[in-house]
Amino acid sequence: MTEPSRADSWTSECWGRLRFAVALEGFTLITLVLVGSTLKHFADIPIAVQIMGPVHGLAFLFFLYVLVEAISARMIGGWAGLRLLIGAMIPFGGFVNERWLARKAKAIR
Amino acid sequence: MIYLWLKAAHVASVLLFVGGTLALLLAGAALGTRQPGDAEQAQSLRAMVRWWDARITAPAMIAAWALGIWLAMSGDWFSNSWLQVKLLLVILLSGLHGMLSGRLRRFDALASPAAAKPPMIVSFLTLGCVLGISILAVVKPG
Repeated sequence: MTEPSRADSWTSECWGRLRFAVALEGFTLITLVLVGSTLKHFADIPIAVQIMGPVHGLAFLFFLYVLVEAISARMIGGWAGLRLLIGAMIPFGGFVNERWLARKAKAIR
Repeated sequence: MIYLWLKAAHVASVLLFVGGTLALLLAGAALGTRQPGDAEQAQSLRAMVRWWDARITAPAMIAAWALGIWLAMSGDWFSNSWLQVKLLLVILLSGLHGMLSGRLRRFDALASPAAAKPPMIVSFLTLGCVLGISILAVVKPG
């Protein structure tokens, strides 16, 4: 059995980071939409939106950064990047894309 | 008093982030103009820059963001137009860093040297962002 090379560990680290960014963005979007907006509009409690709004904004920026890095590194192509970007704007889209990336990473390895 | 410490830490993080981004640009240019016999040197340069990027530049970028947001909140500056423009430039600069970091990772020492060289527009955009951010942060026009 051979030890994993530095390039292998780097590749899996990059895929892991991209999957984490996609899942984090999806999670904060769901929290903002389902919990924050529901509390604000039905119970008149805006605090969840006030907290989750900036948190989701930062998660989205982190996702964009990792996406640019992944496309520049040719880990994923332009169409895959577009799919991730569209998925990031749809509730639960991030979770679907995270699973898709996991399968893609497994197929490459 | 806490404001001055926050500001000092923010400036230090920004200096490290910008320095690291310029190092990525220079490393890309150096790798792009290397001779065919320099594969070993190119490999060690790439490994060194990548190590610096992961351990210093990327954490400095995160710290600069966090401290900058903290400072803007403490000064209640988010509604000011200079900060909104500065934020756009910071997002662009962060994106350029991500792009340069990704490009460096894409090429190994055996790849075509010319392909490692960042396009000239990336250098101009990086320098333009740094210039614009500095002016907006110090002069605070509007």
